[in-house]
Amino acid sequence: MNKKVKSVLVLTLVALVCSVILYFVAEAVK
Amino acid sequence: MKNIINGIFKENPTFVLMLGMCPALAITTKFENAYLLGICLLGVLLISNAIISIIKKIIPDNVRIPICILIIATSVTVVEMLLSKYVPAVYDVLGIYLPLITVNCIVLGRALDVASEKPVLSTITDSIGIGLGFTLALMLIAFIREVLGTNMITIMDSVSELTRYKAVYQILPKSNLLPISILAEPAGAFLVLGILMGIFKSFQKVGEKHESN
Repeated sequence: MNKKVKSVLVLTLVALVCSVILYFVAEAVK
Repeated sequence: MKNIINGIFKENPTFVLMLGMCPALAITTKFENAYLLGICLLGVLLISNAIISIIKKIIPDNVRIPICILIIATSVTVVEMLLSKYVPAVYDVLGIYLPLITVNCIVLGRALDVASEKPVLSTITDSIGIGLGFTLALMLIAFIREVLGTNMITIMDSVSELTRYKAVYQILPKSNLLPISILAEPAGAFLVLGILMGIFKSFQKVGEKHESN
């Protein structure tokens, strides 16, 4: 896989996981 | 254990690496604020560096910094939300300095230098050492500033609702010399930090001489 595409994919994946974690924590402390 | 002692003395973030100076100077007006921020930074450092160390092999080099910042910001936000819900007194005391941990050089520096290269266990011990080193340095600066600058020491005041124990003491007897009010102001922070840094460096030189002999 192209190196740049892989970088963007990993960055997007990490951002998605972080968003999901934040969503669940925010729901838990609401 | 070696990593922990290394973080406290040889690589102390405040006195040796000179990182995270903004909170070290700004929040050390009270002893209580100093250890609360130190504990929060220790928590963030542990969580973010452990995660970065676990996923270090899948992070491409050209997006390492953005991914590290994403993980650090997420862990800071999680800590912030938990504090505001369960310990609002600590959340109020730390104020803006809590979200500012995201841009603290200590956390990003250790994430790029240590967590991205070393195994998880080594990263965790390093984080504990650096976190403790930062906390102890803040406590030392705050202790000197508060005792000499206001002639009081606040061990527990804002968090007394949580601990049900209030501890604010006057340590030294009243005299014409105390309090030295400049120490409680920003200029005093630079003075105390500079003097402590000098003492720390001279102790390090003595230690190095002993090691070489």
